[in-house]
Amino acid sequence: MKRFFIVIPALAAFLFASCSSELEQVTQPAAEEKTELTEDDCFVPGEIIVELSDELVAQVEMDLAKGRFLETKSSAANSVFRSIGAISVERLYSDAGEWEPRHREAGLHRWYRVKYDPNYPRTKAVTSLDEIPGILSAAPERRIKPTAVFNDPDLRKQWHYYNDGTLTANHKKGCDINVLPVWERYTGGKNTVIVSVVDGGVDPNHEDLAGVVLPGGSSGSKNFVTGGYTIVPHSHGTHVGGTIGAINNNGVGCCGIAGGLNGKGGVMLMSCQVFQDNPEDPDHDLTGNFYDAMVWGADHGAVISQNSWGHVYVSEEDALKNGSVGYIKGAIDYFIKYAGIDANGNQTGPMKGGVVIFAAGNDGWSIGWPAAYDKVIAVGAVAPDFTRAYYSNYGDWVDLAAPGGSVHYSNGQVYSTVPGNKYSSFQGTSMACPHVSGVAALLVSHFGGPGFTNEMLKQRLLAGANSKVMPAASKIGPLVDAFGAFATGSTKPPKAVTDYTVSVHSNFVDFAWTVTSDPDDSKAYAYMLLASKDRSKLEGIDMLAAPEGVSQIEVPVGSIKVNAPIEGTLPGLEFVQDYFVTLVACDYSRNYSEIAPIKQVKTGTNTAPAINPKQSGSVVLKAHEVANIDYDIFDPDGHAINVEFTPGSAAAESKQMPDGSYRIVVTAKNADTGKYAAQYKVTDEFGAVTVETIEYEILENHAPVVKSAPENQLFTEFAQKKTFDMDLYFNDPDGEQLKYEITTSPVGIVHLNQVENVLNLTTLDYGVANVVITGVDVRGEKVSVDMRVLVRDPKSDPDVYPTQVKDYLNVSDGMEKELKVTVSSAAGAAISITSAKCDAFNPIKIDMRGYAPGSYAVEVVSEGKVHKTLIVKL
Amino acid sequence: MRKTLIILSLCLAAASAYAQDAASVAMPFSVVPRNVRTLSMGGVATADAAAVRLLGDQSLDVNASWYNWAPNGASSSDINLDAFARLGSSFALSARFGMDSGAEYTIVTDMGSKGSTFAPTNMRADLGAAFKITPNISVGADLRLLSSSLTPKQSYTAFGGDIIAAAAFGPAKLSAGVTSLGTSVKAADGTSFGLPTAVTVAGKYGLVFAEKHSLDAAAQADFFFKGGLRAGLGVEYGFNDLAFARVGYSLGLNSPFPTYLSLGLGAKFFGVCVNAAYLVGSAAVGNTLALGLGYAF
Repeated sequence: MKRFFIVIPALAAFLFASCSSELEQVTQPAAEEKTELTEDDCFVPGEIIVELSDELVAQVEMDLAKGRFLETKSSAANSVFRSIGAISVERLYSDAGEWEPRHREAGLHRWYRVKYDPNYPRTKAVTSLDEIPGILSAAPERRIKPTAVFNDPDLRKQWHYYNDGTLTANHKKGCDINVLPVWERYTGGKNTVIVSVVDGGVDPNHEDLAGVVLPGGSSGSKNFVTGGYTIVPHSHGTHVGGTIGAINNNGVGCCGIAGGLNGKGGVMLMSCQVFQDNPEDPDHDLTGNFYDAMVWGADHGAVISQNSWGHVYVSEEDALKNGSVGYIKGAIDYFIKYAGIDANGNQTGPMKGGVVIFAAGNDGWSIGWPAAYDKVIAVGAVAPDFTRAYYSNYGDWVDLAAPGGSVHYSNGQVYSTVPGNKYSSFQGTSMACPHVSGVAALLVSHFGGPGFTNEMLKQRLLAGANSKVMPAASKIGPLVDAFGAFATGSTKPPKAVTDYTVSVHSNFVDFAWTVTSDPDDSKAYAYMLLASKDRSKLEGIDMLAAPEGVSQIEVPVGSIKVNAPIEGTLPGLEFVQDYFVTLVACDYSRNYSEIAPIKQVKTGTNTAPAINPKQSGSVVLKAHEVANIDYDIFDPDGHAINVEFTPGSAAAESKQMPDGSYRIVVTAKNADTGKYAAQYKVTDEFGAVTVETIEYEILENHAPVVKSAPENQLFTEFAQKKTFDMDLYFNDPDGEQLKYEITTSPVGIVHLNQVENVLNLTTLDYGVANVVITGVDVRGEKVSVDMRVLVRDPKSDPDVYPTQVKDYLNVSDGMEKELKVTVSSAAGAAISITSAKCDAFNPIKIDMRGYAPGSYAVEVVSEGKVHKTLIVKL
Repeated sequence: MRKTLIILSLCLAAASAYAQDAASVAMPFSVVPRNVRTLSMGGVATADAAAVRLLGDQSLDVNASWYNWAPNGASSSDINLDAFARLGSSFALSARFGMDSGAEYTIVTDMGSKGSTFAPTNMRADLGAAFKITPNISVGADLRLLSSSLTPKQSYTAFGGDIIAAAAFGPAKLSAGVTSLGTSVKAADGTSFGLPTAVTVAGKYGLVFAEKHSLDAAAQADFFFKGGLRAGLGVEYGFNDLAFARVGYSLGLNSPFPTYLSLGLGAKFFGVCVNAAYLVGSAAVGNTLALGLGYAF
């Protein structure tokens, strides 16, 4: 039984079926040369960057302000501009607005970009400009490439190739396959190398795999599920195939380990399809003949067999007791022995013999088959932090660890292609395995050729792996290291540095030199900067056992080319001491060159950190105000600093700005009225301390007051709208923009919508609503005004309210009218008769405080009409 | 006749002045006469008190009535029961019960928002006794329970009583006493309001002439402790003790009881009597109609 090693529901088991293999000669694709850059490729055509003197800056700025872009007061400049066909002169750093003074202080305003005829010789243009009085320097604008080596937009998601530890807090720097240096120095994979992907069908039409999947046919890919040559794209197979061969630098999608360098693909993938989606049972794939599939690769040009699948057992005990490589052993042995060899035993491919790479399995067990077969390379899965992935099988039989990802980490899975021009993240030893296959394909691409054998490849893979980073307890072997696999076996050190410069600031020594070549690794991998008070400790130093008293730091070369300048700094020396310094080149295999000539320097003193306020003056705030106090805090020597902040009150807090400066934000409302002092205490790593104290005062708050009360509102129908500016009703002595709280009682008469200081009122129903508008200042001091809103049917009877009277009875009839109101007792005696004018908000008020509890009849005569109602006095 | 009209006009004019002090009297419904005959004779209730009746010759007098009270004002529907029973030659008991169901009012808040409705009710229950001291002098006393239910959650209760003394002088009977003595009612704001306590004086005179004709006249004056006066005057003409016609006038001056003119009719046959009263001349209690059914011997 087999399964592929992605952590998804287990796929259907299948029975091995025997099938005679067919031996066919694989036509080797033509080799593809790595594109070398010319000098012209390094510069932007027709653009030169110049630095101007202050005098010339003033002239140019004046000219630009007048719209004269190419006519300056400098006749020399005008002449050169004309001769080089200048098109425009523009600031390199744009006007920064509020930051412009600081930009000018830093001299950024003196840099300009001169655009000229791109057909004019670049060197001549530079020279001409450089000779103009007032131009301090001139240089062609060098092209800039992204940090990522390729332009594939999703490469940043592929931490498994290059993990700088920044993707998330859980991603540990270096937990990757270290393939970038291989792409930069050696190869991205050649199409003479074929990897047999024994898996689900690799989508040949995927935008990131187009042209790198061998077409189905008698000498290419084959579907071992159907027995035909039509490859049916499968997510698992396409994901695995993409990790090995997704095309690099094509501007789309992700990268493949051996996906080439120039957007045209790298190694070729032979899809030997053994899994296919089962439309009748989506949880159990259709499976094919694995024996034939493996052998097919060997017989048709593949030299690497990629296998992310394994046998199924009911338990770990079952696997330990009954597990074995099984009948697939024959196919594995066959591939290892005959891949890359013709029927006569002659090497026909880039490598004599094949390597079979298997995923260790996802059971979390101490065994997994057929990966445990000693002739295959078994691959366990590592999470983004050098720990064994929770699902990975493990044991001494696991040869290499590779990134398999983990869903337990944010962005922690392996990102690759899936069918339909899509991309997705999977986890599993299925994903780890193609990382090793991809590195193997790179090695064959570079070292492959007559005489290169599968054992040589295997030796490089295993010897170059990084055994330092994986915990021994993980038991999934050393982490595969692409660069290490290339560099392993190197015996020749880089050339030594013969000339370099040193300068000192504080206890730092700055080195500047040029990259030296390496006879067998193209160039040095890194340089060790060395310093000691004792010259004898540097002379004849054994870098593999450097003596005490020698300070050193490694400076990786990265992508800097041979003979290009490189700089490095050796920190942490003692202050005001004489040191002897030198540097040593080394390759990735730690072959060290001779030391460079020893020089003597004297370190400087330690300067205390600087705290420079960006503005002056006292800080006095009203209770609602917020003040920002900015500081430049840095160590003049470049030492690490620790910034402690004492706020003085809850009103002050310190934050570091994006540009590295510090800001004290004083939010007055957060503290009581009073005078406070905040303090920065900055300490460098050597104990030098600088303290800066800033006093701030929070003034007494004044409560808001009512400026004018709103008028009561009478509406006669529903859905009438009116807008009120609430700022008209209040005044804050401190000048604060108040916040407003609105309440209405009862609800349902009007709808109120508040937008900042504007109150929008809409009538909903007949009745009276009391709207209370409360102005609140930042300290919660508040003042309120009332507004009565009457929505009244003009045809309704006079209003007599309340009908359960405790003190006064109100009688009105909408608009201003004269009413006669008679109140009679239950026995019938007329107790009060009142005639008066009233309106909706100024009703006739009948004082009933002297009325005994009981029911009373109220007769209202309005415009000759008599209205009667009953009330009770409580 | 002209003189009478002038007097009536003056009285009605005086009554039109509203009675602010009457507002401070609690349970004013308690002064409404609960006997149709009494109502139709100007409300001369004191002239018909148990102590007065004890000096007469009736042994039992039971009445039930229904009022459509003050349809232009407070508008209530009242049910009343009234009983007098002589026990021996010198003692009598009396009982009264009245229940007023007022019209509904809509509950409107201080803000003018309208809510549900509620119908207030008033209840009066009396139990009295009279004792003849001499053949011509008697005294009587009533104990009274008063209750008003004004809201679904608020009702008020008071206890009161009357003390009446009566004397007979041939066909004339005089009575005097104090009515509505009792507890006060406390308003929602804590203010106490007393019952309409009054000193009452009444006289009654009966005359039979030409064998089949009778004429009864009664007058009463109530002087309220809080000020204010109510006076009543009524005349009843009877024919052959079978049919009766009544007219009365009630004058309220700063009184909880209004000024009105009353008209009444009655019939009696084998002790069973049917009475009706109708009030006019008042904005509030005008058009009041009262119907009663009684039995007396």
